[in-house]
Amino acid sequence: MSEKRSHEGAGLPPKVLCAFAPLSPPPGFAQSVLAAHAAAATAVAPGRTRARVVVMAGLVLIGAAAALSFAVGSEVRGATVAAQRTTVAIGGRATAVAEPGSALSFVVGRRGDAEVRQGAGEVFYRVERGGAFVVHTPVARVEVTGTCFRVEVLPMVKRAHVIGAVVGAAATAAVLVTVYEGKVRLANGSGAVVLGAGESGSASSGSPTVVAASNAERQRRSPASPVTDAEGGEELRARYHAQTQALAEARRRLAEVEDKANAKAGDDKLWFHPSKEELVRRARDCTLRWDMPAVLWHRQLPARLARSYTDSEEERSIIAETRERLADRVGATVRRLYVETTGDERSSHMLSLSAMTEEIRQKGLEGEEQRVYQRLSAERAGLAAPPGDATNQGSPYERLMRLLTTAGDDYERDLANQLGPARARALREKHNGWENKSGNSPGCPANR
Amino acid sequence: MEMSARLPVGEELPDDVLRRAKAGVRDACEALIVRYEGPVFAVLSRMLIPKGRAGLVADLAQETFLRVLRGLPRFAAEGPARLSTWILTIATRVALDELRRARLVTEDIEAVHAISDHSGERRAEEGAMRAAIVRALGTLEPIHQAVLVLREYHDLDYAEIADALQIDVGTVKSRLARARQALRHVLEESRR
Repeated sequence: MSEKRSHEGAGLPPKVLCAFAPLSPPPGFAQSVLAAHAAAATAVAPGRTRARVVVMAGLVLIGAAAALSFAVGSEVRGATVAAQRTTVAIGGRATAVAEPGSALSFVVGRRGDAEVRQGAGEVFYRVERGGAFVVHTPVARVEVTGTCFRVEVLPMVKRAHVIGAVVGAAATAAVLVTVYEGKVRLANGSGAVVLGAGESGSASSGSPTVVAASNAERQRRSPASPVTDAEGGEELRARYHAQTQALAEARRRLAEVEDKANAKAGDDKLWFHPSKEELVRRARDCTLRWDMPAVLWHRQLPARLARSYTDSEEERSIIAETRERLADRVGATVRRLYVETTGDERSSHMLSLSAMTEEIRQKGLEGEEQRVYQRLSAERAGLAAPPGDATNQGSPYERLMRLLTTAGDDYERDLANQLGPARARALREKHNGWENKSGNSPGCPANR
Repeated sequence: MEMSARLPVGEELPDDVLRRAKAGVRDACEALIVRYEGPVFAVLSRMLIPKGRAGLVADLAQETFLRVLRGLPRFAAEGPARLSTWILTIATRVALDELRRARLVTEDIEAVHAISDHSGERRAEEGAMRAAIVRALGTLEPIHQAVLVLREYHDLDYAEIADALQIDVGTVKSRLARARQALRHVLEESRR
């Protein structure tokens, strides 16, 4: 029931609020949603995973019967054994990124409750809210309601390094869980612990309890130290410390970048023509800022933007065609890098360019974003030499960032070939840079 | 220019279409998306554009409807929540999740053009007003922004906003009052 507005005091004037008209859905939006929905529901190829399950005997999986039955009626089942990094849609409830050597199978019931069995390897999960979601491993289960977390099932050899104390273990594995968002409950027959964002926990069969600290114990200890040396968790604690510090540093640097981005005088030309001193300062902080036409979202030049640049129809035509050439080049490269990263050719034709760039970034190795920012900002400041063949060297994420951070310059250069350097620069300066201005500072690598 | 994107009772998706959409019938799902895409784009625009993330509106609108389609079988059509409210709740949470990420900072050219379009006095005034609103919303904490947008633009009541944002009704009222006050202050400053 809606409260009467007059009882709550003056709202804001309608004329003021109505001035902010929202964006409209593009043509065909509903069809693109339905296509993406259908793609997500069929992401696991039944034939392929069936063969892999049969070959990879000896791993802990649900029985063969479960691996052979798939999406029928309202229940969804699947299984995969990953020979390379593989993205798996778990019945529309979650996305799992399975690293090479990992094995998992799942059942999603008609009400959205999901049970996953992860027998080996490392898998990153992103789970949407909506019913129970449980990951069973050989030694513990992970219960979630909506979160991002990573589960590593460690074989016995590696486990000896991590735990350090068990001799002649009868156990087959230990499991390490790291939570990025939300909460999970890690439990086995010996006990249970709730892990929040930024925390890690470990469990193994044969130990008296789950290794990660209980809630009460965690409160007693330092928040950055959920596992003690006495419990053999030295490696876990070192990793947790590094993650916590990197996260805090990244937040601090982002706050600095945002403060500076909001500053007024003196920053107008920092998007595309910063001073040498400014570039050196950014290199010190591993910060990148760049401008480019918003071709990740709009291939064509918006009419209002075109009118703002020039009254000449001929010039607008040149600007528009140059932009579309850039858009096609950027689009083709992003798709190629996305397929290289994920192996998912089909999705590369359905996802937006911005969604693909984000996935390329997320699938980078740990610390890679920081290394790439450090390298590129140093090159921009003249403190490091760029590679000889930048388009083919480095990880997909590094090549993506090289593409995006130079796209604005490429566009200006192409315009200069047709309109002259002075005119091209004047166009870029019209709105203090091309319309998409970006900047970020993920923090410098810890070992710099 | 639309003031409230809320569909009056009687303009929600017809029951038979909703039933078929819950069963996964494609035409009915498409009708659902077409019916509610406007309000979803509206709430996402007003959450994301002021924070410099205009380019994500379409992607997150798609994400919103993917969540809607996944959760639709479990939506209680006879329950207290209207379909439009439920969908706007999902869109708001998607926006808030996005705003919690430390992401690239970008500038929205739409806001720039609103200032620089001088083809008529009235349009210039509207453009300046728009730019001021965008800037003012951008100064709010995301949760305050969400309360204001859901109340002022989408006419959700306190209980619906409280449920959408998982806060209590008293908190909704206090945050709404603070958000309005902050917005008025910024708008007054911009007129000087």
